[in-house]
Amino acid sequence: MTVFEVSSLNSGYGKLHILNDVSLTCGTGDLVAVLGPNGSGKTTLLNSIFGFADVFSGTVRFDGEDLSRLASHEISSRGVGYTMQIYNIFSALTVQENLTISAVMGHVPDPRKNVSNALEIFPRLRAFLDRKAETLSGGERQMLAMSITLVKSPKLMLLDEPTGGLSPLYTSKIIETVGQINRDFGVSIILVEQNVRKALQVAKKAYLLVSGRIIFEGTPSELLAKEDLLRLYLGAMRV
Amino acid sequence: MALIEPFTIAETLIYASLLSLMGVGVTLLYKTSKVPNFAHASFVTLGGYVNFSLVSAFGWNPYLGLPIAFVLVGGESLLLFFLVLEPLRKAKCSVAFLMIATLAWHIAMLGFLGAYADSLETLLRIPSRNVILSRLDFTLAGLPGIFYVSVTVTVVAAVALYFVIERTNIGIALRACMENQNLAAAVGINTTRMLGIAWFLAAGLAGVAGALLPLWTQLSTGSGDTLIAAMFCVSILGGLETLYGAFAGGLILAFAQIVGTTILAKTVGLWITPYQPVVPLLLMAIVLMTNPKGIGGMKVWRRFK
Amino acid sequence: MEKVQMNFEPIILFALEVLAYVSIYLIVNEGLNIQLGVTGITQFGLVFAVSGGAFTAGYLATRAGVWMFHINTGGLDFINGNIILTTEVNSMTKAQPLNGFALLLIVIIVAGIVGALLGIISSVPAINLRSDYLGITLLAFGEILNVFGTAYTPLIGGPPGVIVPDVWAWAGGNRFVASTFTLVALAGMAYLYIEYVIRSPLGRTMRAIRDNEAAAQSLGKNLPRCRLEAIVIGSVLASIGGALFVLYAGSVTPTLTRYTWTFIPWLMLLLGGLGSNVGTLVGTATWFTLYDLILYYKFYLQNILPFDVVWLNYILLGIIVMLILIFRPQGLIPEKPLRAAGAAKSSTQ
Repeated sequence: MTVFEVSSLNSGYGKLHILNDVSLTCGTGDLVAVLGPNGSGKTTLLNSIFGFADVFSGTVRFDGEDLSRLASHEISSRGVGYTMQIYNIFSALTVQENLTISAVMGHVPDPRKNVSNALEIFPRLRAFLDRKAETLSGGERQMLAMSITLVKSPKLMLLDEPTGGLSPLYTSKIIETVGQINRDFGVSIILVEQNVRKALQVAKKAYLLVSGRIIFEGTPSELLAKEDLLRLYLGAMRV
Repeated sequence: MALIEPFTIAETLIYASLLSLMGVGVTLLYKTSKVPNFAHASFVTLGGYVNFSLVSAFGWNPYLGLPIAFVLVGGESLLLFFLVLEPLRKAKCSVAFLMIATLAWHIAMLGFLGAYADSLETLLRIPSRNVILSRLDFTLAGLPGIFYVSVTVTVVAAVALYFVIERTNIGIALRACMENQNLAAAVGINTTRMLGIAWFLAAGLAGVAGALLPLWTQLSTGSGDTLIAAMFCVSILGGLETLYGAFAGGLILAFAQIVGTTILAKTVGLWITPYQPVVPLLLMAIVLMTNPKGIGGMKVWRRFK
Repeated sequence: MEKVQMNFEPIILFALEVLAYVSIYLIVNEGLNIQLGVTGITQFGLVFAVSGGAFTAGYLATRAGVWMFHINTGGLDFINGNIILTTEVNSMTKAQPLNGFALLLIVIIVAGIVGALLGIISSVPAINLRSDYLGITLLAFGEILNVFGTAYTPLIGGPPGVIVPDVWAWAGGNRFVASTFTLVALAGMAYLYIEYVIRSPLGRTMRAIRDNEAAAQSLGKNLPRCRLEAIVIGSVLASIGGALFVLYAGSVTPTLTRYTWTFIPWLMLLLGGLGSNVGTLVGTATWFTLYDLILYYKFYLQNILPFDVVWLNYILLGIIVMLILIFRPQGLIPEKPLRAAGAAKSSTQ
């Protein structure tokens, strides 16, 4: 069953038109990968879903509801979580405050339980609970960013390049955890990634976004078979 | 021979308290709504006239008007917020236009207050320009009541603000909004509501400062305008990194302006006194110009076109 | 030969006066437009340059007259003896139009120089300050100058101010015609000059900075230099406007407020449309029409209202600006893409 659907989306920022007629679906409990070269509009896609970009035409439906009518915090309360690529943690707040405010504002029945659950998934953060988030390293920040989203028990998670700029070790760990969240908790996930191989390892479906248009939709194995697309847009196979 | 008399110190502390109450609001609004608020001047003046009206109409003790001024001016600012600033924010308006919008509101309020003051005089025969309520004040140990009240109110406000901002969930949410509004919305914070709360608080404090003003010095419809440079200066001196800097800024400016000018007048001559209004202006300009470009590095500043 | 004395209806005098003020404001507004509308500088300190010019006129006009016409001051102070000395200068400007125009020219030139200097000072913060901080800093500059004008009596006599010679005294009863014509001519020159600047390569750079700073910088444009030029040109015009204002009104006081000389010009530009030169003209003219309608009704309203009608001005102004910002921020005349000066018409247009 399709829980999330983007139809013929045209969006951008102000006068800048970035996405052209983009359509995408995600079923319940699916992990969908959105791949593409830099500047293709992947972040704009996620921004458009969440109301941070200007939608010129098209719809975004989650659980049957049109998200474009809602304010961003309302979209969040519908169960959609968004881990952004950069500026995705509150540096001035402590790690504990980051998690608490997200849980509380997510109106979850038991914020404390959700926070400790999130810390189960990323136990490394326990050591930094009272430290200001700006003191964390790159990998730890990404973990915190994802925890902030997790702590709200979202039904759908939008992840924008969670492995961006991280070492191979962190990259594997993060992607593994993403897969784990999807499998064990049934959270639907839309994963925007630069790391093609890793993303395709956990994804059920993949889209290729180039210059604001979807030029491929299919299973990971289908995409891996299309050598020309891989070479043209995604560079040599990335490890 | 004492260069400075104790009375001058008391005056300075009163001035510092009032400035801090005004300046902390400017800082709070700058951090949340990202705009230097010119309407703050009329917030102060409105608070003054609310108190003056209550005293003139009901003969109350002038200090009873403080909470009422807080609520009324806080409420008035919500009009500005919802009617003008929110629509502009949604339209991704530039900061220059936002500044002009607050200035426009201020000018409209100036007109309203002027009409109000005039009407009091013509219709009710209550003189309402250059009014002062200090005659209704109490005295304690040789010092006027305003000294004790203004300092106490300021200290209480500082402590309460600290408590709310650092120890409550609303405070965390506010700090989240100050840093990154998009992320705040993404975690489910109703940023419109948070900003509204910030405006109410900031304007309320300005209203309280305004309500205290006629107990210390003359109140007129132009009072806020006279003080706006000082308000901005306090906020800037205190540094926009921390909310509580305004309290330090208030002390610094008050000392520079009152004590500093008194000392200068006694050393270089009385001719320096008419230049006193230059103090906050100069301090402000110097701080703004010498601060390294780290101003832009303090938070994400996305320029919307 | 007898001078022709035209008998003026009050309405014609009123129209001439409106035209004069429109011209003065147009010059000042062009100064603001080149900074704000074309280059995107948050110029909240327009009053800095305007006061500069106004104070220049107040300080210089009588002194220049005394020097030029070899008047014996008899040891009189220019502040205390202001009325006496100015009257003597007037007797010279009355005698011969060239005297008046020479004095006018001197004041304009010096005001322009003062404006340029003030502009250079203003450009220092503009090098790297963000628009909100820049706006406040420039505002502070303007206010500082006004405090100076009030506190430093030898400049323009402190709060009461001084009177200045009438450079159009030679026109006798036609003074309003002569002055208005001069001002309209000067405003026309200012308009054409700014039009030229806008279409020049400098103008293109200015607009590039306004629209996309990062791109402009990456193209190798010298941002600080361009901003400096914008601010200096704008300040020169604003200063000259301020000087003309004083010469037209006949006196100057140090209470040139931020309201009249920063907020109102912004209002006129927002009304007409930022950036476009036509917009500036339309905004200025429209504003004055509105204002005069208000003045007209003021007379009637004054009797029924329990408060001074001027407060209605303030309320109306504030509301108008807020409405413009919310509903039509691009103003009446949105800026259109311009052809460069001297460029041939492109075939793709």
